[in-house]
Amino acid sequence: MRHRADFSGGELNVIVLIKHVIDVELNVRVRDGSVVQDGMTYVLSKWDENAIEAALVLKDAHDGEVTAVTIGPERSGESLRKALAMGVDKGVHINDPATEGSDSMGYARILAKTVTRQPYDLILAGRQSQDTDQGGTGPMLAELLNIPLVGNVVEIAAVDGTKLTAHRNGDAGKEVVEVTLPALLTANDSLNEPRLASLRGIMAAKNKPMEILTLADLEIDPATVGAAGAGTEVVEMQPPRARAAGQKFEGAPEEITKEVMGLLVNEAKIFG
Amino acid sequence: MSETNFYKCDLRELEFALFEQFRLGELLASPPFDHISEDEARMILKEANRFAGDILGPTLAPADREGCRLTPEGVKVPKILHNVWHKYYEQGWNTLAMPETWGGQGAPRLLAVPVSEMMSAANLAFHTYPQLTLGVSAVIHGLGSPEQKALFGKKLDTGEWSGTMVLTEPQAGSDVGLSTTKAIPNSDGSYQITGNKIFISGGDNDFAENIVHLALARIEGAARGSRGLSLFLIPKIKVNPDGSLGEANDVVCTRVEEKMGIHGSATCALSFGENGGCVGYLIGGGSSKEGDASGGMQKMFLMMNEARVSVATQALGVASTAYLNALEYSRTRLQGAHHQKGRGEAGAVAIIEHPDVRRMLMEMKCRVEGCRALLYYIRRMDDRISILRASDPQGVGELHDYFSLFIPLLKAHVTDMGVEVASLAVQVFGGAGYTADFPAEQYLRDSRILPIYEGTNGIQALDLVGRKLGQNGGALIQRFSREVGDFAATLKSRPGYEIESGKLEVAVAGFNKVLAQYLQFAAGDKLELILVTGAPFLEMMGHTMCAYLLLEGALIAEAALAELEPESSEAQFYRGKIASARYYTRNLLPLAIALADTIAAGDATALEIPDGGFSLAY
Repeated sequence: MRHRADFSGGELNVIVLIKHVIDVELNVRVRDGSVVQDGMTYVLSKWDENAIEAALVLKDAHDGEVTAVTIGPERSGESLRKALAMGVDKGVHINDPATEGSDSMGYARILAKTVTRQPYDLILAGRQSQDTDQGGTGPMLAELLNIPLVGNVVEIAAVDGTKLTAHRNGDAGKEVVEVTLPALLTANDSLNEPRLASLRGIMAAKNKPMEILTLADLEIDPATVGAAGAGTEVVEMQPPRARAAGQKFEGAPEEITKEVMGLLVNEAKIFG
Repeated sequence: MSETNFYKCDLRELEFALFEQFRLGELLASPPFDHISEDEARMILKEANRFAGDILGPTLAPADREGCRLTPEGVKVPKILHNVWHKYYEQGWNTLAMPETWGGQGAPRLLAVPVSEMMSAANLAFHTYPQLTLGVSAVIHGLGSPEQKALFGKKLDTGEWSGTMVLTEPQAGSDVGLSTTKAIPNSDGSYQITGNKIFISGGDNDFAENIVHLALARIEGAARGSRGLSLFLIPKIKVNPDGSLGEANDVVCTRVEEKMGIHGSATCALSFGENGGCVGYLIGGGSSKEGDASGGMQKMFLMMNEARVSVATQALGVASTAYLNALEYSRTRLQGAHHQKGRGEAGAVAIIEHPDVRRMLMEMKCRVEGCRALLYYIRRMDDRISILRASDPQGVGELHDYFSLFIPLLKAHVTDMGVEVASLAVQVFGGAGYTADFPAEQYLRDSRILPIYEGTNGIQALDLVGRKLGQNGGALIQRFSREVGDFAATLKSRPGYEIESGKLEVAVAGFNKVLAQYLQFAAGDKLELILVTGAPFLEMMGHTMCAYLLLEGALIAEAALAELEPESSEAQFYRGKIASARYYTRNLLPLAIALADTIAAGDATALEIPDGGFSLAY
């Protein structure tokens, strides 16, 4: 499934995976086991903005083309248009009701069929989407494509010939990883400061190509994706548990310190 | 230290005004605006909101604290504004409503209003620089010679250079005709300029390579008064024919004002040609020999009218963010017991639960929305003019005159209301609002300039009653009265709006009564009774207009509400729109009704009091 690894200082073609998600900055309400749709607004998932920025920086340095891909209903087109306004060259929108209810694996299957329709050197994605916070799609796609994965990337240090060096935040600190292209990277939000879409960018976006595809176009069996093909099922949504109110102490510092220490030792039993 | 970002904007509310009430979609369906889609317009709003929030918002307090300083090298504006100036131009926000032929995006001005509103809400002091620069660019593109357009227009549009509007002199404030700045013709067609100007916003700065001043000066031998003034383009640094910068043009900033607010905006005193080396170029052709070079005021008014609409937009932006900050605070600040439910589990209730706080929030909300409706209504007319220009030139003339009727009303009413809203915001914050920990006090300080600059609100009232009322034989003001009267009559048949339609009818009747009385004052040689009541007249007209437009919005909200689940968030939004209309009509429109009585009564007390009666001590 490897598509192209002939980048050697020429053009670098990058595919960015993006997702249009519920704006979690707003007060998301959960009722009867599912998220209340009323009053919801949707935005481009924030780590995807880092992935787009990284792709555009690479494009500036190496030329080539940046293609953004998204899966979702009509409204997801807004995030694609935003990606185009930020400077992405081309959009691909998989808009098919049968994709609804996909889990990470389902998305990865669809994306695997999508990205292999054109040559690419690098795939960039957010390290997770802001709505489900699963972080599964990128790694699963890399597996399906049989290409190297670097997750949680905080710096793209060098692209040299067919090699790319990335820094990632690992368990024990920063890891420096070298991969052979094509590869898939998922972006941490400290990777860069995403640019804002400029007015000129917004106006230029309408002249950029936007491809709209169905599962049939991609020759995907609807039974393998969407809710029908999902190996996982969200049984119920629960709102985060409300935290108990904090306790406020007033008075002279020595007295407060004494009081707080007493509570920590005797009630919270922190100092066993 | 990262700065708290207090910028707030309710996009849903802007979208209502833009798309539902003032039907931007219709404008986007017609040339010259049909190259922009509604989706693009929505994206422009969202991205402008993000720019205002992420880039400008955090600069509000730091730029206020640092202020502008005069140094031997010129004026230093707050460092934090340098970066945002360049980003603003990189992103092209100044080009939104600029015609395509000038290199702009050619969007309707109606769409540019909410964008300006957001920028002003985020940092009013900053936004004065690009707004003035845009105004200067418009004059040069509109009236300048091909050379002036090529040499100066483009650099103003890229933000490499900035622009200013130069009118005021120490002895010539509202009375600009007293200007003494002189222009003496040079042999090459340029002029030698000498004079001192004050209160020049953005008169000097250290983020633009050059500054283009548009200044009023009197050509030697020209008539006295404002009609003898000509408009000149005076660069800070001379520009060579190839566009490169030459030597300094003997324009020196001699002072930066210490002000109450907008500390990030450099208010400068400028000396032109103190060493005899200041060159200016006449704008809009004509020559001193032929005596047709004056008309500078008319040319400046191209910019002034635009600037007056901009000032109203600034006021709305600040008022809106002040309201939303007060609202947020009122939901989190716990104080006191609810008058029925007691203190509750938390020991106190959020202050939004107190009736008097709710009243203040309602006062702010309905003023902000009323002013927004007024502004968008007028801006829409401007875009209608652009659409008509191709098809119905006669219609353009009428609509343009009607548009000009509203300029003084818009400028004065919205800026007065803006200060009231900012003051109410301080009140909702209580003691905290008087401190610099919260933005309310800065909003109040910043917005206080708005009733003053670009023609004081007193001047606006004079323009309205002294010039605009009589324009076209009184046809414009009658058209206004008819428009509101017709709406009131329609509203009468709407169940549930009996109180509102009744009050609006009474207000229109009062308005007509004042117009008739004004005719009698004029016939009876009592002009002073019109002049002394200009400001209340403007206030009366402003309240009437806002109530009318809010009620029109309420009917749109009613129709939308019929399709919605009553408790859905959209339904709550529309109920909020209806509440604004009702509150305004029931609580503020009665002020207009009362004003009609007092104006018509022709009270001359303020005129007749002996000067010494004000106080003999001063």
